[in-house]
Amino acid sequence: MAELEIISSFCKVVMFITTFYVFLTGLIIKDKKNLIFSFWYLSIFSLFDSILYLYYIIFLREIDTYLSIIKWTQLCYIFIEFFIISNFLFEINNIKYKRTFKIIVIVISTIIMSVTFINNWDFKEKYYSIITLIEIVFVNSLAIRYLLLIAPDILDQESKKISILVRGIFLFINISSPYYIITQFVLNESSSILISLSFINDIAYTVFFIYLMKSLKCQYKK
Amino acid sequence: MPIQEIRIIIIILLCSTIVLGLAITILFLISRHKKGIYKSKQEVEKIKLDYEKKILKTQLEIQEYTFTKISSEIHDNISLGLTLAKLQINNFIENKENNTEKLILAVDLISKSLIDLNDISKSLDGNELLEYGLINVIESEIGVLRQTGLYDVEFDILGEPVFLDHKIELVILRIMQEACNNVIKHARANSIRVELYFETKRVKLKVVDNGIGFDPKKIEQKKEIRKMAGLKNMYSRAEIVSGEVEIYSMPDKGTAIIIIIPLNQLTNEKTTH
Repeated sequence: MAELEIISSFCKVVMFITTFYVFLTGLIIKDKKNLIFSFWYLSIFSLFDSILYLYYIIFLREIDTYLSIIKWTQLCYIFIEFFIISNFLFEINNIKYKRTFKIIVIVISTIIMSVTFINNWDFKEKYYSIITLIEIVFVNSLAIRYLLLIAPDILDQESKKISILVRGIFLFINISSPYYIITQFVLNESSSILISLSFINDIAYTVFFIYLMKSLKCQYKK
Repeated sequence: MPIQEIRIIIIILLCSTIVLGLAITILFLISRHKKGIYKSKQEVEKIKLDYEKKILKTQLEIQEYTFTKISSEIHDNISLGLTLAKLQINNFIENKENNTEKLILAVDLISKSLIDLNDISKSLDGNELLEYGLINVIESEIGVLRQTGLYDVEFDILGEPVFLDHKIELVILRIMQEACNNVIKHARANSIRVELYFETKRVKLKVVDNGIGFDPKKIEQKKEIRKMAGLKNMYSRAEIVSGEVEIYSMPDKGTAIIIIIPLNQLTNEKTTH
């Protein structure tokens, strides 16, 4: 268990450094109205999350306080993250009625968040695994569709940076989702295993931010 | 740590590893598939480019050959005739004779040169084909050969004539002209037979003479082919329409030149020519 905690702390630090680097890279970029740039806002949430972990777990060792704080911040973060990813995937896949789909995503997210808030977290425990499962199917199908059918065979600057980011999202979802699905399904939220294995989630975010950085730099070079 | 927790940790790690492995495999397969498509597209582009280069080279060669031919025709026939006519007229002016025979001779020479010039112009004019059609133009060419009285010329059409692309018609006409030209220049023949076969998926032109023929072994050597500008020209023209040239010959047994041109489906309509 101690070894897992060391690994988790190490991964959290690595993630923090990567996220911070992405955050700085985003500050340099001039074109901030770009579709890819919307992912940069996730680095702010991620930085906040990392700082909370480093402060409460590594320095103060107050696991319960940390868990009580992040259960709400992470929920907001996950829905914003899902909205940004779905918006991006709808746009690049040239989906018909994408506006309708976006509205559906926003409405469902709002309902889930409200219900979760009203029921004081019960909803998350019961249905979070199902939501994650839907997310993995949705993201994987749209990411594979783009990489296989939509992306041109000879990549130009624009499609290159989109492809890099899609690969990043694909890996991120496939690394983090099994962790979320199993932990939410099998464990209760206060389990120490959640903290010990959080490094899987951190690896997923590190991979995603590395790809995002590559994509942003590709944009920056232009 | 309780065994139950260890078990859960192992399950989570195992599942994460398997899913990650699958995700990486999918990305790798997509990447390989894309690379394969890119590579095959590049190969197609390269083949297209090579083909276009080859066509351009062939067209330049044909153009060069045509210029040389025009130049030699002008030099051998028209220029000579006009020079002789000029000499006759000069002679007439300088000697101040009242010999109208020399003037008539000069007029004849000029008329002959004009006819030659007209013939060259006609033979080079591809629009004649559009106006009269391939069969009529070939018949007209055959008629000119017959008029010389030097050759017994036959022309046969086999199969149902179909509409041909102008490019294909032009190639067939030029090759026929070239083959007849070779017979006149080199074959020492007294009989020429031209056959035009219209088949379902191809058109075939056959020009056979009973002349002195030549050794086909020399034809097999490509370097020898290059030396024979007329034959080379036939090969080049046939290549433009993806056609093939077959040459059969034996010393003292005559020569047969066969050109086979594949047709696409669009040309398979009955001709009105």
